[in-house]
Amino acid sequence: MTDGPLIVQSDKTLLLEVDHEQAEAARREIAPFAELERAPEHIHTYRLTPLGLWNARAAGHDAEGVIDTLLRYSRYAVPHALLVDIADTMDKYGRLKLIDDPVNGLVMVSNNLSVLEEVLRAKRTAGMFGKRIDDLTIVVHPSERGHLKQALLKVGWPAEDLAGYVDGEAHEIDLAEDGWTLRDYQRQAAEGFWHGGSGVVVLPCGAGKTLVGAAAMAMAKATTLILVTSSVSAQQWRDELIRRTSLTDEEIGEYSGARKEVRPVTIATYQVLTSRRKGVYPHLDLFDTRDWGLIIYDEVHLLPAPVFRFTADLQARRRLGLTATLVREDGNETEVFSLIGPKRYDAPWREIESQGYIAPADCVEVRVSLPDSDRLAYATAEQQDRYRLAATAKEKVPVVKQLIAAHPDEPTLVIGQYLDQLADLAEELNCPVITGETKLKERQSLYDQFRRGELPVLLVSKVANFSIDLPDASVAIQVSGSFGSRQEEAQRLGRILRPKQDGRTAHFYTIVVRDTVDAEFAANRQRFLAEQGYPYRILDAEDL
Amino acid sequence: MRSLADDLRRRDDEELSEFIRQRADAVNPIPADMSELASQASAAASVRYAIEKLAGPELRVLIALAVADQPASADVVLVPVEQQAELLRIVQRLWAIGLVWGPRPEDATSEVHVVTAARDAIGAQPELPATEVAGIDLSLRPITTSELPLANTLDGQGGQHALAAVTSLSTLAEHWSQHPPTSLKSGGLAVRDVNAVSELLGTDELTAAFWIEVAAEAGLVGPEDAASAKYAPTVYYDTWRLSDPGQQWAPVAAAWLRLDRDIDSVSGQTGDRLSVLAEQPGQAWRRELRSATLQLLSEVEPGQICEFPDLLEHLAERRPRARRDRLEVVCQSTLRESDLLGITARGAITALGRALVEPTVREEQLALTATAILPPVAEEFVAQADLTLVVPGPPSPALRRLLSLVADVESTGGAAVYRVTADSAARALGSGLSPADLIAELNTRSATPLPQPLEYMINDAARRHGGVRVGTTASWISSDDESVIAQLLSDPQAARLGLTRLAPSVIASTAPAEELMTLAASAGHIPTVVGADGESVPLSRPVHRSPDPARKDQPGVDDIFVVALTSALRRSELEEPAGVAIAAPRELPRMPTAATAQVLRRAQTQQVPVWVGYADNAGSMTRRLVDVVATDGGAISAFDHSHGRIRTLVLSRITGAVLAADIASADMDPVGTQDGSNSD
Repeated sequence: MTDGPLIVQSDKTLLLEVDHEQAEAARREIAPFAELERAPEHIHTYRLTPLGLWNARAAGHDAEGVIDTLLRYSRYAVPHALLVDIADTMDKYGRLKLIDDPVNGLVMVSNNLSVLEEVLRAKRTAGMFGKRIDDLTIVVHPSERGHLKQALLKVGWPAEDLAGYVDGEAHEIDLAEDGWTLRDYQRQAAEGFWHGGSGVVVLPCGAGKTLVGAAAMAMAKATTLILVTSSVSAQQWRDELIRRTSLTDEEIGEYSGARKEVRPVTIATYQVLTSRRKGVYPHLDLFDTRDWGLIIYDEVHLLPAPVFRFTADLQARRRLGLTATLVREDGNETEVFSLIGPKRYDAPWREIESQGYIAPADCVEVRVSLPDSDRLAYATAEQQDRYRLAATAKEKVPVVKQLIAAHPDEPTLVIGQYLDQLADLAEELNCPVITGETKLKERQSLYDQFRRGELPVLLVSKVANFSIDLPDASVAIQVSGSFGSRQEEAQRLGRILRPKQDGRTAHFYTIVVRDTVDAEFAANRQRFLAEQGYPYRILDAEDL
Repeated sequence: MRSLADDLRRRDDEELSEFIRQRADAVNPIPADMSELASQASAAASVRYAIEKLAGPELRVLIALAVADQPASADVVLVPVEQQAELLRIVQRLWAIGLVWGPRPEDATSEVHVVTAARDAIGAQPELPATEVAGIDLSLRPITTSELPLANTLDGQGGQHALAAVTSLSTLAEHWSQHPPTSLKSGGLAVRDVNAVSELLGTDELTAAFWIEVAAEAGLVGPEDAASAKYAPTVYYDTWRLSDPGQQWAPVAAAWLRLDRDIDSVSGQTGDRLSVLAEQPGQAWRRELRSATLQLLSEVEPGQICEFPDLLEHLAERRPRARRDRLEVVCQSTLRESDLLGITARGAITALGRALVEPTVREEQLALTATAILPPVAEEFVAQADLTLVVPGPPSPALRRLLSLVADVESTGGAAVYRVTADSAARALGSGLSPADLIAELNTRSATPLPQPLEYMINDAARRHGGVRVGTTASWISSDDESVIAQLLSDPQAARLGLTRLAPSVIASTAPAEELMTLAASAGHIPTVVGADGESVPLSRPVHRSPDPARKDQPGVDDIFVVALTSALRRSELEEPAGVAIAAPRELPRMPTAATAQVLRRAQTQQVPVWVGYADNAGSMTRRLVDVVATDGGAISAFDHSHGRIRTLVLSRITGAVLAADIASADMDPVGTQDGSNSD
């Protein structure tokens, strides 16, 4: 028994006491094989999963090292069954290998006949194999490389993919580090990705994920396809790439609803890729139009299902996923890992904040009460109407006004889910609204005014959830959201985390109606914030 | 000296006690005097059982002695010179357990007789003619071991298992206090109930059955009462659960050592399926071979491990006459079960296990040792903004009680993680704590300041708590909040429950009150139950408790019994039947049976004589001075001074009992007038 910072639980979670003197060392050593699950103020929780252990194997860690790390840092004895389980799980990795055979093309090789037979008989792998070359070798249809890897993960015999990546069409790209440099964590993230070949980088909003993408492109020096969530986001990627790299305007193409340019670096929206005509996806061909050397998935947690499926066919190309949170409300995180690649870099938000790269934030939930008449209406409403009734309560308006008044010189975003609520607020506050229907030009112009400080308050619908870049927002007021979505909460918090010139604290307010589903959903989101290390307070509106 | 009985008569108290301890089966039923003890100990079955417990060298010596002309001395056994001392030790041991008799063997020339039944039992082996017994080897093969990897973590792992064991048993008992399972008509638990436990504890069926059996043996759970045939935690459990983990572990480990039940068959994997907790004939060989296995494990050098096949071979060498299938079954189940209890880990004995196999260890000492080995209990928790409370170690009983009241367990292991939810906060308030008290209590226990949202949540729950009141007598709902009434009335379930609005704030229902509770809860309220006086009744659910089961009679295990029996047997030899010579008290009070039993138990534990009034078979009242040897259910075994032998007295026929010391000499008849008949 040591006096270490780590406590191993029987449900395979690891508790790390962050104030312990060895905590940092322990964190570095367990990060390769354990998933950070939550990071509140005192004790972080990591989880051991088969996928995490296999990823560690893929990255060159062996079971002995993993067990040694656990024993070295664990405060109490580690149950032997757990150690055996770790060794067994890690031992399953690499029994099957995908390699590029000079004669037969893509083949799967096993060092164990019974494992191979088990896999061949599994229902999930049906139709993915070609002819059997010998006892331990079988041809794999190249188009099934991704699907097979997914299927093998599910049957518990993950394959080591040694078939390598195609280099793609070369294209000179360099970072233009004039007057700025890549931050340490950005460089580590890009290098982590490059050494791993493919994978996901998790960084908080405002921590400069675009630059990690640019750095990866400068490493690949090849034609690149960038998939983003909206055309505004596409515009920002384009601006950022022109400013930060050697790329010129002519080298970057936009593939969206409005324009269909395919250039050495092409930025496409998920929306256009997944638009369907007569049951087919006409634009998915984009993946094949050029010999891409790198594919970047921005906001990978939003990756739509058709792109998922197509990505399975792209296993020979390097893939980089960027996101602030790997939480998917549909629970498909595993799919992301198996198709894009394992998590290559992850840092708790609070750590990047403590390095001064993102602003500290003060999160407050403000609770308002419904007047009796509205309570009655709420109580008798149909289940499905209740959230809307509560979320759009009129009582929130004076609170919004009060909060805006409390931060007079700070750019403030008011974010809501319901358009009529936003319209009402716009009237009350006398400021503009951006919704999905706002024209792109008008949107850009409003953003610019907001940036220049001419507009102190901007109302935005959920279109602003993703990839908009408002450098100086320092107060966000959330009046309604989509049913306790945790990823939305992460994105919205990210809106205000850009470091402020004067180092001041950002404020993140959520207004909820007590004793309604609104408060229940809020609790869900608050828990997520707390798990990211952002403690919050709850205030009654009367106490503001 | 003519017989084993003669020999036994001449043994001193210590030797006699040792004999009783080693030959526990020979004192069941309790013998009336030395002759009966000797005859029971010479019976074929008892002797065969004693031989089964012999190790290889002991058996070889016994055979050598048995085939020689009687009486024989150790000289007839040819052993290497350096084993002479060992040979004498073995002969002495054979004498101690009464397989040979005669004067206590002091050297190689002391002559002893092999008990006839033993000669018969051994003579049944034709392959051992006398001539081949010329030279024998008394040494045991050295234990085959290999190095145990990560040996330094062994005791820690054992400690973790011990903690997990204690947690499993508490979880089981807590579950049964809310949901006591009903026993089958044929006795024991239904498979369904065992499966529920295995799901609760996250284990397989066999392990679940093991925990249930151990909990019952340790007296933590038992039948609630004969009428309902439900199993629930005992009154003893309430003391146990408040103890430190070490104190909790010791009685559990001791109970496991006592277990003589077949648990392997409850999963139905081997042979006929037995019901968990059902009546079954005791299988003392399980207990004996389990001890032998543990003893063997404790002989393995620390840092080494003896793998199962070798372990079994060594065990066979130590119990050559035991049935092979039994050795295998016990050896396997011992390794599996001791691992669950932290007595072994990875097949090697832990510090806890070594403490347990100490031959003279008492439960209190064992608890102290365990407490020293187990990680220290934590008295504080760390509260975090995500509303988790983390105890960085095994929580102390008081802390565990507080946390299980206000929070739900999220994970266990080295630490305990709890999460506070609106429901759990409401539950804590429902138990009668005020929000201020609850927050104060949490604050004193928290190593870090309580996060603001946690306090807010508790106060918020208090605000909502009692917002809805449900009546149980008339089945009605009332709320000061009319919108709630409206909401409930508009609920789709309302029609089925026959809700009618009696007043703006009251609804009546034709359905039972329980259904109304569900309705209100599913609509998101926290209802309170209102009693007949209009005051709210705490929401805590009824908790089931069973009376403590009588400890099963364990002859030979209990020190008090051994001492009492030794002294009673001694008296049966020394004292002439005193009969009329004893002065008896003039009067004995008539007492209820329970009070009588209490006096008798005190007489037994304190080892003092007691006067009893007894109705004999003829119906006449007698007064007898007795030394209580054992109490078992409806009868006691006691040395009767007037008869000079041990007798069984039926409890229901004892009219009263007074300790002899409590009777003033003035109250005594000068000369006994009590009946001295032998009519019972």
